[in-house]
Amino acid sequence: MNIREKQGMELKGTHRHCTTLIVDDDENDIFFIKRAFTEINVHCTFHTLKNGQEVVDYLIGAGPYANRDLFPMPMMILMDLKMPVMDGFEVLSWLRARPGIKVIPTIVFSSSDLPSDITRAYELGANSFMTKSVTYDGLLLKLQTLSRYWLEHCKHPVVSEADSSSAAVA
Amino acid sequence: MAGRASILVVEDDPADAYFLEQAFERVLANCALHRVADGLEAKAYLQGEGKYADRKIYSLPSVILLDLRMPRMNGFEFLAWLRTDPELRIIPTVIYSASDCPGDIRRAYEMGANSFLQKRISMNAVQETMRSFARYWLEDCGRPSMEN
Repeated sequence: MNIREKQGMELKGTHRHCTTLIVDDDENDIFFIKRAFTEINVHCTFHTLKNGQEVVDYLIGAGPYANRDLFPMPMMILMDLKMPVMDGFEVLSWLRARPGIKVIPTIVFSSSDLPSDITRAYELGANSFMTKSVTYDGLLLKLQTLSRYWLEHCKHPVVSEADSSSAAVA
Repeated sequence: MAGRASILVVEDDPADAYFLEQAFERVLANCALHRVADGLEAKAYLQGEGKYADRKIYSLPSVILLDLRMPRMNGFEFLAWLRTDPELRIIPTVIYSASDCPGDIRRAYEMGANSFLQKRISMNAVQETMRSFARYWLEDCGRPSMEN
């Protein structure tokens, strides 16, 4: 992909006040995902988490995540499946059972392309499922499509701190 | 779901439906497009009732584009039914509504809509939205498998 093509990929709007969680236990994948978002000019605040338990802690405001100025409620979650401690399937089950925060758009972003994984993710309430590309250019293209769709076209539900509090006691 | 992609549009307004069909004609390649006029007909389609029993013509959709305000069975009522059906509930369903009311948006996600798009006014804007929609759901997203 040449420079001109890459420049053409930049998203039109800026997305201030947009917080996205990237959940992945693989540091390399996190690095490349964040780099790709920067290249396509997505101006979200990204918080990276390394397993499902950290997602739970973030969403209920446990520990450091109680500081909602630093860690605002996300408008979107991009999440791997296979992670230690608590995997993507378990997060989906937990999340969709919680009033309030259950509405947060959660997109599975996994190296798996197994039909059984895809089906199970949708069954458990994933908003969508994307298989990670093996090349960086492929990753750029997929994240460009994802960002254009979710950040330029989709309407998002408003999620507040009250939702976080309900989830914490649920 | 193996085979050719297919979109089910659930839209009662003929003008909106026309815009969608025109937009999809420009942005879709090798994808079947079917339209029904309200939630009840969408239910009949998905359950294979009457003429919809012919799955060669009326294939189960890869994604549903669903209006909210429709007679007989509106978008919320349809979603409520869809998400209880053990086989059909996993079909990705995207709301396409003129409403940008936060209450409607939140309710849609709460009831299991996969995402929410606001209706656009100009043909160009509809096309742009549907291009993004088609690229995302038909090219880049993994599709859940169903028995049928």
